[in-house]
Amino acid sequence: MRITVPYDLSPAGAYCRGELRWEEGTLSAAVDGKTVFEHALEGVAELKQRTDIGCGRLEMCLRTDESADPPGAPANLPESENVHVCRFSMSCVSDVGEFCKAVNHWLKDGEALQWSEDELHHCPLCGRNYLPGMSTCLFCADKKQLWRRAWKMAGEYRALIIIAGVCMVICNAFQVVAPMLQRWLMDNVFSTEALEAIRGGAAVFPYGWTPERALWMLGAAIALSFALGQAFLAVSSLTVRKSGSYFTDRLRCIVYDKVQNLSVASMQRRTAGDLMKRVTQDTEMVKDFVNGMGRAAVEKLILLTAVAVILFATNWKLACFVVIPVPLTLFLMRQFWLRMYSMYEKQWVCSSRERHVLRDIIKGIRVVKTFGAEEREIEKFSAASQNLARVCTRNERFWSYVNPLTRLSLLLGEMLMLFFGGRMVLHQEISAGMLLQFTLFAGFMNEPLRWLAHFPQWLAEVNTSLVKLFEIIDEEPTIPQAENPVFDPIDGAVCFDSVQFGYKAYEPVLKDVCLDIAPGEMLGLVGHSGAGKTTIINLVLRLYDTDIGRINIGGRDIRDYDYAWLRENIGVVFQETFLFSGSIYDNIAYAKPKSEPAEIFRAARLANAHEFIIALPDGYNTVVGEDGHNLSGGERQRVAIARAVLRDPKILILDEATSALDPETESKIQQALERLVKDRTTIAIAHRLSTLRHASKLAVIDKGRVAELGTHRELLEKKGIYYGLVMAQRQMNTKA
Amino acid sequence: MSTLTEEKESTVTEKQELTTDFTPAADCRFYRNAKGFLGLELGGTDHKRVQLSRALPFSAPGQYICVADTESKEVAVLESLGDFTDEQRELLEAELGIRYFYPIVTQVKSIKEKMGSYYVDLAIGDYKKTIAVKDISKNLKQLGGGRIVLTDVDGNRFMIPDVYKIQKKSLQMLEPYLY
Repeated sequence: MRITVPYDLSPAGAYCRGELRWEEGTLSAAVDGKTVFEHALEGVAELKQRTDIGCGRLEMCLRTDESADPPGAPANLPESENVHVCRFSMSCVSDVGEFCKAVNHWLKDGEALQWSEDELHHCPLCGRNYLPGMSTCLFCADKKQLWRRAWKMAGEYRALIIIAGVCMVICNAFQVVAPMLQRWLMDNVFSTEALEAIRGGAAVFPYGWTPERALWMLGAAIALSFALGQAFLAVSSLTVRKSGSYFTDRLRCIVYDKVQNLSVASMQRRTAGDLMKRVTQDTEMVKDFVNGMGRAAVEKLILLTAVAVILFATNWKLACFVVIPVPLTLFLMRQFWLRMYSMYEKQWVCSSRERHVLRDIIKGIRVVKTFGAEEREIEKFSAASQNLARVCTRNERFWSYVNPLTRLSLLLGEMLMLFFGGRMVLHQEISAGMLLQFTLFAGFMNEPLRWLAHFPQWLAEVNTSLVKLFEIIDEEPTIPQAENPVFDPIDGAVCFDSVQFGYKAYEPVLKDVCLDIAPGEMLGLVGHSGAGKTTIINLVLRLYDTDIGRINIGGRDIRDYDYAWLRENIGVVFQETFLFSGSIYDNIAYAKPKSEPAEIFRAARLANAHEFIIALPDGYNTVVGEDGHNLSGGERQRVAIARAVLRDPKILILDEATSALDPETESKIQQALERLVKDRTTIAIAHRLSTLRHASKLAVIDKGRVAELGTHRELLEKKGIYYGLVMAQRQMNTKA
Repeated sequence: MSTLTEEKESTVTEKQELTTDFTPAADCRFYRNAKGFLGLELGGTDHKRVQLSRALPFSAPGQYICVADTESKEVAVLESLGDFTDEQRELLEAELGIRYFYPIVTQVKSIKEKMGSYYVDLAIGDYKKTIAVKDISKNLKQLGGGRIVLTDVDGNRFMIPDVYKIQKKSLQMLEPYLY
């Protein structure tokens, strides 16, 4: 077993290229291939990663020498005896963390963890660290592959997209016809020779048309070609819009489905906002691209090529005058927009800062007034406001100076062409009609060019969105479903067998937890906040899997059960209840959508909620949630309890279900809970210890371990942590 | 009766907690232990390993330094490093250098936007580094007096002590983001 990870700081805080190595029971660190640290892992209790400010360090925690020390001495030497291994910047924190996890696991169990490059948080190709919440490198993602996948996903809409493309080509062909007809008109009707010939009565028009008629026919042809072009454009944009919308809809469903099935661990790696952005904004981005930019890009490119071909075919010299200024214009446009963009971003930030100050003042008006700070706040606001005004004026000035200049540069090509083209007409090298056709075509080129200057940026943005979407789609669930999931009835016996777990694997939150709860028993979990009580509950619910050890329910590893089935048999009431937008009825029925009204009422009665619901004007139809009726904390809690018991779960979990309530409400809820815990296995967390007086036994969790276990009386007699907690609360109560 | 005295006592301690008494420099003796960690002898107690934290890391980096033991319990608050002897001050400054890592940016070579993130090429003395910054308006903080802290996606912090004193070219590069 050999693992290496990079680290990047010397002891003095200079950047270096270091490598941490674990090989054959030895830990070493090397800088540029030269070993600077080496230590055998014998006698080492664990590796410890410490985070400082902007950097971190790795230390070895040593075990006490058992032979030298008296028995009963702590297992590890104090931190002042640690061995310093190396320093690293924040860029290496995750990698060193994974390294620690692997080594610590080996130190504890003598087993080597599976190690793969995937554990690292940087791209194996370019070495850049992944952006937060991502596990794909935006730089190294194969763009072609990306679009190939998207194209495959489009499925049956591919035909529609192809039709749209063909329509586009035809539309452009018609657009090109008009200037050519105008040229013919100019040369064959309005030129001096033609006019003279017509006046002389010569038959200059085909099919023996009179000049009048020829004019009519030509006008009609131009109108028709325009109309046909527009018709094809309409068909093309309709089909592409349709296929684009269907495609994004499919994409959104796939992503949403995936998000729903993500494990809590990967959900927590990303913020709710980030996930929502992926489902809505990123898919919308792809849709906009397919419907708008992508389609337009094809259109503009076809038009540009067609025009360029015709121009060069008719007169290459003149065509050069149209084409030569193109790169210059493109460059200028791009520079201009980049500059504009940063200027307007600045303006945007200033204005949002101004709004922010204003919001602070208005929202905190009571605080401002209480401290008599009105003057100060007015000053703060006017400073922000002046700043915004300054930036705005500067931007406007820039815009008014520079915008005409860019327009001028766009016209430069046309002017060049007009000048040289005019000279060519004067020297009779080309006809006036040809010059007209060129001017018209040059006008055709301007718009697409202006447009193409932005295209790379749009393409980059949509590429980013696609990478992010595929990343979600490709994510493997970290809570895997068993191959042959079991649907056995669950009897309610819960057993923790030396469980170790940490949200970050190198920082175990639970260590060696062993608990045994018989069916129908109530276990109370007590301890300081951050001790690991909620983590125990998360593990029972299988929101996370244990790192080491196992949890059995009904004598079976919980990983064997179908996880939906497992959660169906567990009812949970959290401290913070979340009610969805909808009626109270729907909120209770959320646990079991097909339940009969009578069941809902029974559940509500059990939860002591029926009374207050009936007293509401709309009864069970009262709409709650974001824009609905405001229920009080106690009422919400009772609705949540009703929801939890509707399924008649075998195991009930109460996570601080009654904190933050007034005593009267609490007693009502307490009453409801007492009814519920009968014949059910219950795991309850409570800070108010009186809530747990009915518990069959109590477990005191301290620093991730079960420190004390027993009944209320047993623990009091022990005079340990629990005794201290009870005494502290009693003192507080007497003071109150 | 006893509760009354208890209450009196508790108000007295609360009052004491509101005013911080700085630990006199003369009472402290900092030293490096055999393993290279900073220790502190204070009032007859030997704290074998202590951790320093700046209360005002930006506005007063050399003042108001809290000293905590390995259990994160505060054991001393130092008013100013200037109160200490040269030898003690060097020891403390070295330790703060290990605890706080703010590479000093000497030059900003380029700022490029790519796929929604900004990639900034920096020179830190002779060392060149490219960092990725997301949402530059949030992660480039101006602390007043031209001092700037730039935080990258990994959580590293890069310091420019005075943006108006670095090269003009670097300032121009940063200018669009300073507001």
